Amino acid sequence: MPSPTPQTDNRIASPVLAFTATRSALAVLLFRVSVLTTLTLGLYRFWGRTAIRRYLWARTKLLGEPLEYTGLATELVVGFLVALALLAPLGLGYSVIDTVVGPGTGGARTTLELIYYGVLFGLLQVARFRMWRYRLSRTSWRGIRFGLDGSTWQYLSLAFGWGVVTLLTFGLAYPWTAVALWRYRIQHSRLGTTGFNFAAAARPLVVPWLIAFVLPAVVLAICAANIGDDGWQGLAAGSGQAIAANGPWLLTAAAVAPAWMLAIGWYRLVQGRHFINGTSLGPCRLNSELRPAPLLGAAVLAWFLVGVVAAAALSIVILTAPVDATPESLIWPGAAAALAVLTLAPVIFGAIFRFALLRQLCDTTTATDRDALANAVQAAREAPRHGEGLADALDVGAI
Amino acid sequence: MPSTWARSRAPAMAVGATYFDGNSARPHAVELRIDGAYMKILDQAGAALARWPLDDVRLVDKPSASETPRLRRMGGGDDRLTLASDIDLDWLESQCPHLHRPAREAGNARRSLLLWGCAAVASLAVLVIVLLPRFASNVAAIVPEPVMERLGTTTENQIIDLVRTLNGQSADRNPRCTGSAGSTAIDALIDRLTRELDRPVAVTVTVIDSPIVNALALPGGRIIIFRGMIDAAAKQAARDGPEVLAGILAHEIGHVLRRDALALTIENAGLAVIASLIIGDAAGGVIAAALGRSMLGAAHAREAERRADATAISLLNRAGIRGRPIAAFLGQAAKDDNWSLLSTHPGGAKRTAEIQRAVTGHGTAMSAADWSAIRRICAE
Repeated sequence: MPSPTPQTDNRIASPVLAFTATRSALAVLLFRVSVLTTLTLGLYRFWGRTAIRRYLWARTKLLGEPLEYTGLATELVVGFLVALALLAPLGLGYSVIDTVVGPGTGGARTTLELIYYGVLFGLLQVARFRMWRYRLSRTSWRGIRFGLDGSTWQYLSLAFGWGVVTLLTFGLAYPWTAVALWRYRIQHSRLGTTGFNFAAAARPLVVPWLIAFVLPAVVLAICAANIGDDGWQGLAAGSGQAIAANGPWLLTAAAVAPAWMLAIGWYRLVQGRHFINGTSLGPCRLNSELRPAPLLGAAVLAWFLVGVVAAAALSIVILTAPVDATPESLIWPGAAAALAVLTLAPVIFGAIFRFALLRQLCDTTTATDRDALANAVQAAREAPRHGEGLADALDVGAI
Repeated sequence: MPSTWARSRAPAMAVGATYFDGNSARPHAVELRIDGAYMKILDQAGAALARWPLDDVRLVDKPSASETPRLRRMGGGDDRLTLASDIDLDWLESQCPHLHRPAREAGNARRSLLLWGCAAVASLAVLVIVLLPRFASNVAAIVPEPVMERLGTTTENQIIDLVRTLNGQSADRNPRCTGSAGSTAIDALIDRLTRELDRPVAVTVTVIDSPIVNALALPGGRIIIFRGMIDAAAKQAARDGPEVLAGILAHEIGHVLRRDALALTIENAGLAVIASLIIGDAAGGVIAAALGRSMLGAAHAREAERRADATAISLLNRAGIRGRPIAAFLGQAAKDDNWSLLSTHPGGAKRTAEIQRAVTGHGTAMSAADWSAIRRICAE
């Protein structure tokens, strides 16, 4: 008989989460979902995603009791159909106007693109907010459902305002933007009737953001400026002289690009840790000791393995090709190989990186006053009836 | 019923568990007792907190070896039971016959999903197969002439740039062929083909110095014909070269009249949007979307080619130019091409036969002098 959690000193932060999934079981599940999704041209993704969430939620334990995912795949399908109805006319309209306006840099084109990408950005924010709401409403713990209050319109106007500020400051204002948007989402989240609270400040994120985003951008800009217009033209024409002359700059740029990706990943982990530290649920204050280095290592390993798989697939295509193969005759084997790699990539990435991320998140999060969580009471509020369509179509959702 | 028998014979066994009542997150240490067709959930004082019909008891998730099984009741209800990890699952299965069934009846939801799914597939099929081509050609039809001309000029310049790159020429070389006698001869042929049309149409032909064997109709009445096409007409059709060229030009005029270039561009863009939405971010979705789009796009393009053939036949017939040479030429060209699903041109033999049946003209397309001027159009 599982005894209720032993009483602890409320002022001391103690572990609250445990992640009990196994890498092998997750890998098998991810593989099955990925293969079926590819074979059904993507139709299985709604069922697959639901199965993955059920698995992961059930193995994420809060005070020893698992989370429960209560969403249904059919809800995702209906959400998808709704998104299709919204996005198909938008995309179709844009493609027609785009064709008729034609290429060029006139005012009409600029206006068109501003409107289109503005609407797309807005939909993306709506999608994020609704995805958050759907997932919370389909998550319960000890029978108590999570939820998200607040209004999509408020969130949208917040996102637009901060989006403009970020754009005008060339990205420098991003930490404040992130804090504002996360604060809105976290503050409006609740477990039953117990509200979450968010008190993280933006200032501690400024230096990490400068290191992760601004520094590599400046280095890249210096490289680009040193190569110069003549250099770019020479490079575009494939001139060996131009390559030799700009070698150091090209090498620096080539080294900065992947380092930049890693730096952004590092920043996101630092930001996540900072935000967890600023979050509390009722009287229970969360604390995270997340260490970015091992997770970045897991990400690099995952990408490396995807690269190995891709290289292996490519060699199989080339080695099994008949001697008189033409480029046309390699299209189908090539497409099959690419499909295989794209099917395996999410499995590798999920089993190595996502697994490590979830385990670290759970292992490094502690809370004060954790027994107060038992005071959560069910809220009598209506949950959304279908979910995530926009997020699915706009490619927002990770799991 | 064997399960009822088993139930009635089961000992009054007490099992420890933790109960969450669905109203608060506070755990209750409870004892489970099987009582007839019910599972009684008793607190430590022996008071019943809940009474679940055994037929309605469901597992929340299929427990793996290390997980503690959790139970819920079919249908609504937020209350949950967490069992001890040493629970005898076989015993539980013998008591609760539907333990492994889904916790919610999906019957109605599944039926409406099936219905809506079929409706969505049907409406998408209608959208892609019927509405999109019409929509595209209607949009193409209302685009004003100046816009068409600008689009044509831009596209032609892009093609010229591409040819320069392929030929390895620098940006100041102009691959347009400007032989004056040849140009005059082509203009005369165009005039002869379009003279009889009810609606006059302005057609500008540009010959480009490239070995590519192809001809294109661009928006704004622009036709591009590569030197390779003229060479091929001369080589494969020997004496009938002029009539093959007339057939090719008549076919491209068919595209110009229907504004196929613009309509197909719009259609392809629309197909791209729809395909990428449906397939979403599934693995390999990009490839599947691209393949699906090429197949549908190619099918639509084949339809456009058939219509252009029909126009070509009627133009040749009205001008009294022999049509058999172009039919033979196309039959030959199709033999080198076996990408039937992705091919944008209709099947070779059938197409040849259709054209041969419909052509009536017996005249020549031009004089021998004009033909040799056209053949030398890129040499000047």
